[in-house]
Amino acid sequence: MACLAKMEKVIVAMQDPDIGIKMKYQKLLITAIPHAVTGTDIVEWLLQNLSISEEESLHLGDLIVKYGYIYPLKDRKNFVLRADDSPYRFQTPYFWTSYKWPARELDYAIYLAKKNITRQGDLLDYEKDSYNLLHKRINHTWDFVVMQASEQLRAAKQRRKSDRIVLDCQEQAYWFVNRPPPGAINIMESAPKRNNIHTTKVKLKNSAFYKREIEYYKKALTRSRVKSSLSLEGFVKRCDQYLPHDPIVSGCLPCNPWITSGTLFWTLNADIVTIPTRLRVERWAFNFGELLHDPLGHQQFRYFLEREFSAENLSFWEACEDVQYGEQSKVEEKMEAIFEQFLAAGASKWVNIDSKTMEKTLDGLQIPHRYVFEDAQMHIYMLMKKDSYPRYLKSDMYKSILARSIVPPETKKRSFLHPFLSSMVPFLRWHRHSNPGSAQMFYPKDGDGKGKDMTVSQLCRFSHPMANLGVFTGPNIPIHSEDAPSWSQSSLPSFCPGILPAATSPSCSCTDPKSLPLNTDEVSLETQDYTNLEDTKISENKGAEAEEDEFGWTTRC
Amino acid sequence: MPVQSSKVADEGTANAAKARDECRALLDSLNKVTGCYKHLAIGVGGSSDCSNLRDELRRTRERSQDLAGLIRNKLTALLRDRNLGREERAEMERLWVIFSSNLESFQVDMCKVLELGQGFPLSVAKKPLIQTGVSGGTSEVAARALSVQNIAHDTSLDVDNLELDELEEQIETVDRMMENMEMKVNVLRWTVEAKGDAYHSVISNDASSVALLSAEEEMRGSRCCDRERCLVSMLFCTVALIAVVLSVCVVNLA
Repeated sequence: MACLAKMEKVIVAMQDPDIGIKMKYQKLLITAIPHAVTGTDIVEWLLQNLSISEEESLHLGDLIVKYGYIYPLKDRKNFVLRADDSPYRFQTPYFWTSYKWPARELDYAIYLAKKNITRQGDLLDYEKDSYNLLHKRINHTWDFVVMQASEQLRAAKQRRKSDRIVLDCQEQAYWFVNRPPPGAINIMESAPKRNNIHTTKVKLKNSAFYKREIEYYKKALTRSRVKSSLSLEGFVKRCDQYLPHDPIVSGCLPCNPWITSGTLFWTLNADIVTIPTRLRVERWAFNFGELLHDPLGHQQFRYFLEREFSAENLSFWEACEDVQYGEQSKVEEKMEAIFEQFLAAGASKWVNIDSKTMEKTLDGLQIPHRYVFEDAQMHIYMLMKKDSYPRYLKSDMYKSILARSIVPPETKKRSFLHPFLSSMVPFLRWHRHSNPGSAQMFYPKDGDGKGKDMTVSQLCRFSHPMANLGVFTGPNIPIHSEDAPSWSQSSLPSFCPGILPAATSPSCSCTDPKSLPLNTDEVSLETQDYTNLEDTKISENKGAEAEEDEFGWTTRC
Repeated sequence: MPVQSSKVADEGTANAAKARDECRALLDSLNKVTGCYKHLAIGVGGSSDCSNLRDELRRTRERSQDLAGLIRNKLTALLRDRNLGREERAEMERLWVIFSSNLESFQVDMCKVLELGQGFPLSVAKKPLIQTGVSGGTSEVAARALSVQNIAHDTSLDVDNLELDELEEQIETVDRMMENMEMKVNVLRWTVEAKGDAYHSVISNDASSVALLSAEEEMRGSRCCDRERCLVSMLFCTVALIAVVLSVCVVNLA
């Protein structure tokens, strides 16, 4: 631990013959033991040599005492630094606190056994308890414990008296720190440590070890990586794009259901509504995945394709998804059905797949498994994305639904009011503002990017069974594949309460009269944004396909 | 024939008993030496640290290792002997457990000494030693452990570096020894029962040393220097006695 190393440095600095602490003698009845320091000396030395305030030096000194580098001589049970005459002494390095060599049970048992022998059974209560517990726990090696204890006592007898006293003090201080009595602070307590075997053993560096290392690094070299400049750029772009859709950062219209207990948000964003919200419709323009995974978007796209007589593509894609995520027992029959409907020559809904993929799929049909249609599905998906999707976005259907979509006005924070009233409020508000399509894009006043890059996307959407079909969050901007799964994972738990922050979303606070004049400006800005977004999306669509293949599909496991 | 076989059996048991006693004696001395090693290790980095201490550490370590090697060979030989009786086996396993605990402690101490030795090199004048208050020498402890009368220190050797270089290898050796032991002999630790106080010798007779050791506990001074006090009082008594005798003589003479 870093703090221990630093403390050790301080201790060593204190020993310096020139600038170190002045040592005094501890006078016992007959002997005088050298190298005692007073509390004031310590505090003053710290003050001078570390250039800190007195309060801090007192605190630092206290920490040093608590960690056992200096132990008190007078009040032995209390490891506290007193800035007065009370004497202290330095602990020998063998007994320094260390996480690398923690105090072992065996050593503690030997210490207690020694104490037991010398005091003939007069131990403190907690020591007695520990002794009995250890006796039970390591009973098989108790002979060793007693042998060592007696041996160490005999060895100590050979020293001169003052040394014996010091040695005893040292050991007692060590065990006071490492096995504190109940009620005292246990400085050795720390969070659960990671099991790092490298710190404990002298590592055996033989050929097997090096072989393993070489293998590992070879594999690591071949891993594909994206330059951080690219991935970060993509990340930023994505955040910018999804910023208005994030309920935490940009507020939740009409009101955040978790805060105000109004379910209007969910009603407005239900799977199939006649009038969707503006944000939702705009989102369909971000990428093809968004469109497909939104139930309403999916439905709209299907209508569009039916008009264009290319609905079989979508049906094929849906069927393949079903095989991939459906029941194992039904896989075979589903595969048969797909083959008959879509792939066989002269089928009713024949899909246009290139010959190579068709061959591969037909071969794969011999051994039925879930992922037989993967290539074909991918092909059709790309076809829809490149071809139908842009046309849909330019179509009248989309534009009309965009025009029809509403921006629910924000309700005042009425959590304390009757819930009936709070649901009534939006309608009251609509009366007041003659312009129902008023774009009250309420941006939070503080405007702080709380850095929430994970969008807690539309909550109600995920109640749809389609959601379980692997949240395909395939971003079409080249981000490192690792980002995608974490994002998809975080959005799934979004419907448990409490995930949305308890911190009040600023949008749900009382409406700002200032926001009203923004109406007209906002509308024009919005449409501009929309067209810009569309353009960028399409261009990115075209440019970044390869990445999506890699990243989009592989996020599903 | 039966007479002969019983004789052989007797011899066998006698041999086993002899081996067992040898093991015990060796284990005793190993215990002594490792205890001493630990005692010396406590002094590393402190005010009593000097080249003598390092030298003593080295010698004690070497002695420990020799003993450990001997015991290991003997014990493994005995424990691998299939014909060992159940009681004998239990006894051997007990000794085995004591031996491996000893080795473990010894290894930890060695690692600590290595680390501390590297942290507090004696040759570098810049790095001061920690003033721990310990001032006396440790030669007596070492002498007792090595069973020699006096330790002669060779001051010409650069003990510091010598010790540290060897120490790493030696730690490895002990490590491997322990692994080998575990592989060759399978002793189930939890089945071993400690014998209790019957086996080893307990020190409890030395009441004066007990009093001395608990001296700093109560710095009142009342129990403080019993030994000195005993001596002083004895001296006083003898002087008083002599005085009385002399006065009696004088009185008699007069």
